[in-house]
Amino acid sequence: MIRQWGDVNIRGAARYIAKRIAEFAVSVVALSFVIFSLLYIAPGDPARSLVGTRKATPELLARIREQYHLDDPFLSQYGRWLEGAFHFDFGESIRSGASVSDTIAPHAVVTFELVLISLAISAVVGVACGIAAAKGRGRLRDGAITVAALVGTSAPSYAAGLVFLYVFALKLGLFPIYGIGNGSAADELWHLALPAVTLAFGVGALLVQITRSAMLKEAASDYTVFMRARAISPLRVTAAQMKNASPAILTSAGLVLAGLFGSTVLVESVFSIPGLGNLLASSVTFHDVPVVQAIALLLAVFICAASTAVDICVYLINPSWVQRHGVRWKGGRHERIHA
Amino acid sequence: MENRFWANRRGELRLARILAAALVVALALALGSCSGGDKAQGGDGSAGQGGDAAAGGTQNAGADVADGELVIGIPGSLSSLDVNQEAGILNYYVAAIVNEGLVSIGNDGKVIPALAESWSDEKGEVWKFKLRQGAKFSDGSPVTADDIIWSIERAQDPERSPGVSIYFPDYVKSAEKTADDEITITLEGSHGGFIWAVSNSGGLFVNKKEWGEKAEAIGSQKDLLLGSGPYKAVEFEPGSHATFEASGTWWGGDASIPKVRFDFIEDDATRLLAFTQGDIDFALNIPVDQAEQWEKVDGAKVEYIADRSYYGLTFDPNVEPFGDEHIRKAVSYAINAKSIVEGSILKGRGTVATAITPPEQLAAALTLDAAKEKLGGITHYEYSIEKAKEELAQSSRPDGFETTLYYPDTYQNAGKASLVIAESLKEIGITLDVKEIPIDQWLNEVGDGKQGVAWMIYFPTTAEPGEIAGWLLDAEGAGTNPANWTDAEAAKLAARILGAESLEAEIEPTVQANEIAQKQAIYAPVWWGQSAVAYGGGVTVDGYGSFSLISQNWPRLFSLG
Repeated sequence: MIRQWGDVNIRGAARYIAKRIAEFAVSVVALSFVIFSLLYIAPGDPARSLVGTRKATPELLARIREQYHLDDPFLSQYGRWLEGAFHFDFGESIRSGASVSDTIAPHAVVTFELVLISLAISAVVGVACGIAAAKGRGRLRDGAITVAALVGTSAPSYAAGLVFLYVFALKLGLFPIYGIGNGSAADELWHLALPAVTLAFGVGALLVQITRSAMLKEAASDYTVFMRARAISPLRVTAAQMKNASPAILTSAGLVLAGLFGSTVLVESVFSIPGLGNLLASSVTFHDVPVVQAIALLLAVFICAASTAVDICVYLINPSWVQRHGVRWKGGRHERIHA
Repeated sequence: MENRFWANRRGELRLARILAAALVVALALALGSCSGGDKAQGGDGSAGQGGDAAAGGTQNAGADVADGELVIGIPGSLSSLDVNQEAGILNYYVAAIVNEGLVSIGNDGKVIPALAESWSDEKGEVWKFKLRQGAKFSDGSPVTADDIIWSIERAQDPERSPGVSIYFPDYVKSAEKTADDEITITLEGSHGGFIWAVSNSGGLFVNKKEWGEKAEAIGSQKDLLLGSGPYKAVEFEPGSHATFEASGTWWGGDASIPKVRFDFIEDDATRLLAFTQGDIDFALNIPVDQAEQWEKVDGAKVEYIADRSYYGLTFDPNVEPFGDEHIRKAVSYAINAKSIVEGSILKGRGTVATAITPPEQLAAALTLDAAKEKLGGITHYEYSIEKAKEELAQSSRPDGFETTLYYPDTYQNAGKASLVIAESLKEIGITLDVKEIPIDQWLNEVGDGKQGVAWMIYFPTTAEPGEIAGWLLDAEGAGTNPANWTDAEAAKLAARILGAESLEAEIEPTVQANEIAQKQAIYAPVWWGQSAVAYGGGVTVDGYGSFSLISQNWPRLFSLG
């Protein structure tokens, strides 16, 4: 007996979800190896970074290297690190001496808040503008939205951030210039608003373009012509188009999420926000390898998890689309899953 | 056609209305949040000020200082308040108001008493410190000899103090409590410069032993600091800010400013906007090449001080063709240091270096004029293309050669200066390939024996006269100095610096070792650096100098309102 939940075959869905979760686990382990290897072979010596330009005897450097197990064989270092990572134990920060987990936790909270606000802005404004542009194809609003999206995708987030700061914070005084405020939730939200808009301005523009393109494709499809011929209300036509366009929009939202995390380094620097991006940049400068490894792994896990979640959502919303198109989003590109 | 046009227009107007409504809601939310913000917190901006400015008001530098808080914008982020762990120069500034050493330094760079009321030494080998009666930690408990000895032992331990154990003298034989109010430190040999090691601008930051032994990570968000200085740490958000309040227990009396807050703003453009807005009162280490923009802010004052930094080229005589003294001299003559310092690169915010040691570094033992006179007599190679050509003609490579000069990405002025030097060298037939590399890589390559010519950039952390010379001029061969240079006489002088019985006794060997290196053109000093600070209209600063921010209770130099 085949159990059904709406359009979804439950056994098929369970098989699909299990497969995606298994792929997620394999991806994370593979990424952990890549992250560890790249930092291992990166030029520079944490021991030398600690000493700076001052005098350092070979004995002193050897002592520091021993303290941080820097001379152990590669696989031994990787094994120790991976085992710790499973318990959220990434060792101690070379720079602060505090536990890496304790160091990155408050920064991660700020960055996830920033990214979520930004994702919400990107999704709401990006999808709305994309639909508006598609519905008004060839008209003034389509041109205006398309040009704005082009500016958004082209403008470096660092430059956009400074312009927004100058106009909205310094000249208009609507937002604070830097930091995350006095600790209250409302104040933090106010401080994160302009950075979130800056982030959304760049990556949300991508969502505008993809939504517009997906909606135009649906508008040209046979079912739209038939629905219109049968005088079905425009609202129902748009709803049907949106349902069919949603897999493409959802998968691009996953792409947007990865882009948002990538852009936090610059935006957090401009707005002096104590998030993961800022911590990552300063940890790279100070060669604080344990912190860099932990942040890189955390972001990789989050992006892989988002990719998996998006694939599962797309399947649950529209399983026939997945079977028909045979594609899913993976690591920022579409990949064929059926022959 | 007309109907369709108006239908389209109606759609567009509807969209415009929706967007306008959304904007109004967003603005209302933003303004609502504005009014709920706490202006006492730095970085919270000031919607009122901004609004006035938009209406034609004038923006003034300097935060609202009526609440007695000094907000300092620093161009970096601290990950720990504990200098034992993270020993960047900004960490020293912050810790100087919380932790004391046995001694401290004054605004003029001289050693002054701190937790030790007085001290004496026998030939620089046995040091006795008489402890101050009545010194208390910020929790009200007395500072004891045990606390100080525990802090010294901690400073020596590489595991507990990766930041300062590197610099803490390895010639300390013992540190013992010889009376309730006396500590005796015995050294292996004579070391007049040791006094710096027990200052809080050198390597000793006294915390309470009982508290420190229980702390998981001293200087972290969980375990701030427990010192005996004029301020106590009350809040620390790594990557964001650190706040300090007057401890009320300091032996030197009440702190003049009740609250000091450091805001970490790494981006210079953002820091300038925050200063213009009035969110910060005092900005440290503003880039000298951008100082004019800071000077334009209403009510702002910018001060430039010699920061005792050294920028120069190092020649490794073991890497060909720099083993040839004529080649080293040819390159030295081709450096137009005056143009670099006074031209568009430093815009006069530096001094042409005529030796490795800047005169301000000798302040602990000499007046500035006396130091300048001493160092002024040292051999140096004033820019002359003719002399450069003559030297090259006498060298093993009279037709020139090609070499590479790397500079660290965080020192852009060194990169620009490299290009000026490359242009001059081209005139005499030497091709200098200038390349930028990450600071981390550059640090790894200092003195690696592979580069014939390299930049050396050095910021002394103490005011010990022989600090720079003790490293750059310790000419005992590969690994002992960044040039991997060998010279028996200079090595003896470096040993004399290290073993000097007093700070004064370090002066002569420092000057003589500089002369030996310069005669052989091992180093080509280019400039001694300056740093700039800016403060806003509501703040005045009295007597700001090279040593101010590592001096005892430095907030006393500031007046608010």
